[in-house]
Amino acid sequence: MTKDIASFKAAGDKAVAESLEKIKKDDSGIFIAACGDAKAAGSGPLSGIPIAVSDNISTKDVETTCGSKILKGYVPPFSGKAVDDLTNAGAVIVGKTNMVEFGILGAVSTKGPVKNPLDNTRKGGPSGSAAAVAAGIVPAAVCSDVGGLLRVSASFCGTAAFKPSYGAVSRFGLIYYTGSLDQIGVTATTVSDVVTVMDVLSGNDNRDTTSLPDKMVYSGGKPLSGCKIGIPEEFLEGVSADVMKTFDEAVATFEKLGATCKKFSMNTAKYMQPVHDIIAAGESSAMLAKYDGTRFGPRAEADNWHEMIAKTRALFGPVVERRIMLGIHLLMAGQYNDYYMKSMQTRTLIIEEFESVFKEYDLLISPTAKDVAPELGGACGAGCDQEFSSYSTAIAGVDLAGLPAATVPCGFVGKLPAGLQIIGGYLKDADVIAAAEAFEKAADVKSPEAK
Amino acid sequence: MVYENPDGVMIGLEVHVQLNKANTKMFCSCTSDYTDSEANTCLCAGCLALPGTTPVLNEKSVDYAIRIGLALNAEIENETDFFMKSYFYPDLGNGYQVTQFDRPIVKNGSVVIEGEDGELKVRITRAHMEDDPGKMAHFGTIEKSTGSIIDFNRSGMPLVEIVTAPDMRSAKEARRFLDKLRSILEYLDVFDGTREGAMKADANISVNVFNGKRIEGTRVEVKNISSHKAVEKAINYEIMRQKDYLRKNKQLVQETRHYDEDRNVTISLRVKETADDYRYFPDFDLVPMIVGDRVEGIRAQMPELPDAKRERFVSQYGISDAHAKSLVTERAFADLFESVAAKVDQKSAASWVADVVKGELNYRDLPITAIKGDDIVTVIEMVTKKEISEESGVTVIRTLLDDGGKPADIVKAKGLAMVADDFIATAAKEAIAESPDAVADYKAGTEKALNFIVGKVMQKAKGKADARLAREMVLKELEKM
Repeated sequence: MTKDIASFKAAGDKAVAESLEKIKKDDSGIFIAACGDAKAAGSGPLSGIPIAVSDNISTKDVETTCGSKILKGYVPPFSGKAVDDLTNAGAVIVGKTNMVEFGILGAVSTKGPVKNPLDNTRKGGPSGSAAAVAAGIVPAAVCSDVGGLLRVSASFCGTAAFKPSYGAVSRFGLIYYTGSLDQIGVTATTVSDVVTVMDVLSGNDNRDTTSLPDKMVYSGGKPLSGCKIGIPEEFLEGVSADVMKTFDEAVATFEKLGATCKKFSMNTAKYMQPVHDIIAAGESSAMLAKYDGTRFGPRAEADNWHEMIAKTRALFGPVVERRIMLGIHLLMAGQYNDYYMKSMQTRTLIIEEFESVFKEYDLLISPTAKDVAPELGGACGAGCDQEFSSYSTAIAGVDLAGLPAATVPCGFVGKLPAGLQIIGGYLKDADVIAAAEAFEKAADVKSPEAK
Repeated sequence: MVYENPDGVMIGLEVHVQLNKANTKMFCSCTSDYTDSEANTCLCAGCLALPGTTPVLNEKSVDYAIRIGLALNAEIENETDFFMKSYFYPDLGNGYQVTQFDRPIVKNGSVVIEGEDGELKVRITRAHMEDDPGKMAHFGTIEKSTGSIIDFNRSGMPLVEIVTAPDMRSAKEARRFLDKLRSILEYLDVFDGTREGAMKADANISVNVFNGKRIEGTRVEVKNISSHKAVEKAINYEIMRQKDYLRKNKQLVQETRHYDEDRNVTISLRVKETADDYRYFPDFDLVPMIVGDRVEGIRAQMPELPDAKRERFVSQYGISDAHAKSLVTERAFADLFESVAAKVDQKSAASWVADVVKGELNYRDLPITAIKGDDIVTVIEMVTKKEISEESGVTVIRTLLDDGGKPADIVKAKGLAMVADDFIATAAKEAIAESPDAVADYKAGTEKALNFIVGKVMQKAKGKADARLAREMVLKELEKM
């Protein structure tokens, strides 16, 4: 079902129109809105290619809601850097993909859950970005990745995805809820297509002070032959037997390609998820404070401004509200030193342990998600997941240290794909890409239906 | 004489200084000069805090903060960072203020002022950078309002908040501190104090002696006082109120009060039962700054400050300390004096600029730009050459300020040119002839009688005579008798 950039290019002028047609008919909750038109196509490496962006990336003159009621009707007067880069490369932004409210895992989008194109009784992940690619609507989608918003969606839908080192892509125009953990990435049908789009998005932006000074280069990474790959044992905890089987096959593939794989233990692993949770909650309480109805978005009717702010903010969904409350609590003077301060200190230890680990290993690997795509409307009714800020220890660790990480399909459990996560040292993006491409080619993972 | 501070008054100030000469706002490229702009026209997505905007620090504001720190004889922190201070208020777009916490860029400084009993060193605890919120206006009074409007032009303006130790003991000292601080800041060229909202102060006031006994006073904060005159009045009111409460045995509470300038009273805004919890935490959008390496470069470019200039004026020009003090309060006056002193007698320059020009400008509430240094030089030269009298010189200055023109033309139009010597000689003879009683008194030893005769000469010359010359002529004629 998926189609790569080349086949969209081959469709010529019709590519964008067809894509828009599909988005308008979307009944799987993949998109929140369609936008753009074929005439907008410019010239460049992505000329005439329809691309989707997640609804937390600002698009000028196009409603941007982050899947939240509190941004209903909000039309940004500017576009995010990612959107400008794509448009300047000739692409047409055709739609805003669905996402859990503000990207907070466990929260519910105004559009409901994303249905998985491979099995519509299953979820397509916390964002619609991978589903948009898997359904063949667009060849690539750009989505912010915090907690696995992008990577886990790709794992569930069997697409390739990449989140670069922190700072490689400007966050200007990205409506993040936890700025120190979030980073824009790309999903597409192949690693090579991911790189084509990543290349367009990367580069310094003086509007984002966390932006890296130099443009990231994704080519020329280390070959897998002679490569030392580490497998943190803690990253395998809780992984389902079926997914573990696909992972073991992946390990065998890496060894066939001349790499050595070795399990080891990370001392700080057990802190990754709680530290991610505490930092994300704290940052969210400040980042989501601007939604007060004063300057943009809906405003509640009230007798005074105290009430106006309180009533407007009741538009946040309950999970977001709880996250904010938790953040406020953790940042208060009585708790700050015990939780937030400790989390920041532990984050430093986590970064340091990754640094020392990457002196010994070139790459780390883990399953991207512990299991395949869950059923729609699972354990907690309206489609929420457990209320953690990230999907797994591995994903939390990558976010905290700002590391580059790719996910590629590594096998199928029935008709549902499983993803393999490849993690590199900070700024070793090219090594991750080289390994992901080599693995993709060697493993040649195909769905049972395609076989 | 030692100031007794009978009420044990302790005053600490928190002064908000808007760095309105930093060209742009603190985190975006909007102008830092919105004085003449309509409401909500100097803003962008950034300072309006729209979703998806990221802050970019105006480095100039950091340099300015360092400049201020050096002028306050303070330490500059090598590595410093920003924190988010959270609270909800409609004029605070982000829902948090970007400020500093435990590593303020400036700490441990001091400013010497003229205290109640001589020099007083006011300690500066810290000075930190932060951004200004928008400006909210309420329909009706602040306590009871039917609606509010917000102007975001001010939102994101770079501020430096200067915090003093509670070293001031009277409203007068607090005002002098502010005057001195403002003078220093103007010298530094970091702000234009004439712009609205450029400088605001919060005062912490406590009365710590009652009935001659030391007591544990209650600290009351009076917020957002905008003029120096108002600071003095607000503090005096607050001291009086606290003393009155103590006398009537009424309970004073630690609280924040608002000064109502029109009614000259302070009104309780909120009682602080517990300290506000602003949930400070590091701003993850702004990386920590290493600023230590900039300090020496900035120090090398520091302008001469008022105290140093005052000393130099006394030693270099030989003018009185009182004149020097008056001249240095505003940098522009000091510069004007120096430009005039380069061309004429330096003591005359000091007296004309400090006494005449400054007084006449203040009287008219005119800025220093209302008069040209060259015109002052011309007037002083005319007086020195006895072309006009000193009184006429003052008239010329006044006319320049009121009607403009050139000194020479004014002298001509008003007929101010000094009368000739022989006219004075004749007038002296006439005056003596007309005043036989005074002449007799003078001859009998009454010195004062001479003044009467000289006065008559001046009357005849319609003021256009040099009084000293007139006196000499009268004496010469009297000797002949």
